[in-house]
Parts: sequence; C-alpha cells; structure tokens
Amino acid sequence: MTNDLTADGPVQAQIAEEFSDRLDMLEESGQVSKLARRLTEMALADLATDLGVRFTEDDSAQFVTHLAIALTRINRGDPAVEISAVTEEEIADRVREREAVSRVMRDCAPVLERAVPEPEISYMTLHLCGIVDVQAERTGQDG
Amino acid sequence: MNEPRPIRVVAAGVDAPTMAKIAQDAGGGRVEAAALGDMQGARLVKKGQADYYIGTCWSGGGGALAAATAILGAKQVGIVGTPGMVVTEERVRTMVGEGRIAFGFAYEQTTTAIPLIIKEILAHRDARGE
Repeated sequence: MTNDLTADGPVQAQIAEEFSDRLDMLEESGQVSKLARRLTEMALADLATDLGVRFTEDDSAQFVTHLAIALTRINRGDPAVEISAVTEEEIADRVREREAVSRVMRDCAPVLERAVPEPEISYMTLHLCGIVDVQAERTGQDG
Repeated sequence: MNEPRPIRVVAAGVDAPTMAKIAQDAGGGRVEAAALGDMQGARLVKKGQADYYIGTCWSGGGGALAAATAILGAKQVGIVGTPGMVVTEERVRTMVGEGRIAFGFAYEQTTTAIPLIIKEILAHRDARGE
C-alpha cells in the first residue's frame, strides 16, 4: 500500500466506520474489490484532512459509492468513462478540489498499477464539490 | 370496480426530490414517488413496499444503480442512459418488458429519462391488465 496517503488514524477510523455498511454491501455484491475499498477509505481520509470536510453517509454516500466503483473499474483496466460538457462546466473553476483529487489519485496510481484518467478525476471532483458546497452552506447557516 | 393501486416509485441519486416530482407528474395520478437514500430505496423495493427504483449519478454508470444491484440483483436492474448513450424508448421498453425494476441514468438525462420510464411502466402494466 502506498505511503503517500497521509491522513491521520482517527479520520481513517471515522471513515471506515461511517461507510462500513455501504462498502460491505458493495464488496459483498462483487461490485467493489477489496483493494478499491481500502483505497477508497484512504483517499476519503486524505481528502477530509486536506480540505477540512467530514464525510458522512447523509451527504457523501454517492461520492463514496462512485469512488469505490471507479477505483475498481480503473484497477480492472475497463475503458475510460466519457465525460460530458455539463460536468466539465460544473467544475470549471473548482481548482482547489480538482487539485486535491488529482493529488490523491496520483498517490493511488502505483497501487492501482494504472494512472487515473482525467475524466475519472472530473467525476470525482464533481461529487466532492457537491459535498464541500453543502457543508459550506451548513457552516454559514450555523455561524 | 376498485381503482388500481398507484405504482410506487423510489428515486435516489443526484437531486432525488426533483426526480421524484418528475416521476409523479409523469404518472398522471397513477404514480406515487418518493425521494430516498439509495440503500433505503432499494430495500423498500426488495421488501415489496415499492415497485420501481430510479437512480442517477453524474456518469450514469456504477453509482446510479450500485445499491440496487447489490440489494435486488443484477438481473433486476438496467442502465438506460449515460453521457455517451442516449436514453431511447426502445431500450426502456425492452428493460421494462424484461421485468427489470430498477433503472439508472446520468443526472443530465433526468428530464428525458424519467417520463419515458414512467410511460413504459404504465404501458407495461396496462398491457398486463394491472
């Protein structure tokens, strides 16, 4: 396993516990590999630390599912997904989130034995931006 | 004669409340739709407390139907559209006719896919006298 994913233990533990039902379900149904599951948990923990977000089942379930399935697909060597203009437009100015995802996926690449294609990075970024926006809105309301 | 029971649809994914509203509107009073989490929605279908599942994700691939596939089984689900695959009446009709009960598509196809899916479900039910 790569040593470049650097999130701290408590964050990783929270992620593993929060999404255990979901990832169990996906792994047991054969849609997600054990390797992709482990990388998903580590990538989420790294992104949480890097961006200061807390991933929960309530607001991050789709992202977690997407990430685990995408990493499984990439590891398997499936054809790259197509990206739509709508998606690229949505994330055009989200440099911070895209760079965070790109960095984490660069760290995953040696374990996956493949580079993560840019369209996959775009979809991951899109999901992440939705979570960041919801949490920012919530923080604003609380503050 | 008794009114037929409404068809119960659960919607999950990107902007599920809007998906549910589109489904309900497309059903013309014959469809009751609710927005739920993907695992909860699929479990309701599994238990027979809902009839159909519609799911979206940004790519229309894995995420839209991942929970439904795990809970209902691969033979019960079908992807009707992705950014590279237009949603067609023929594909939806075929999948409904095969008895599939969970349908996935890309979020950007929501407004075209859902009315088509509902139309084909209603036609399928009518043909079977349900």
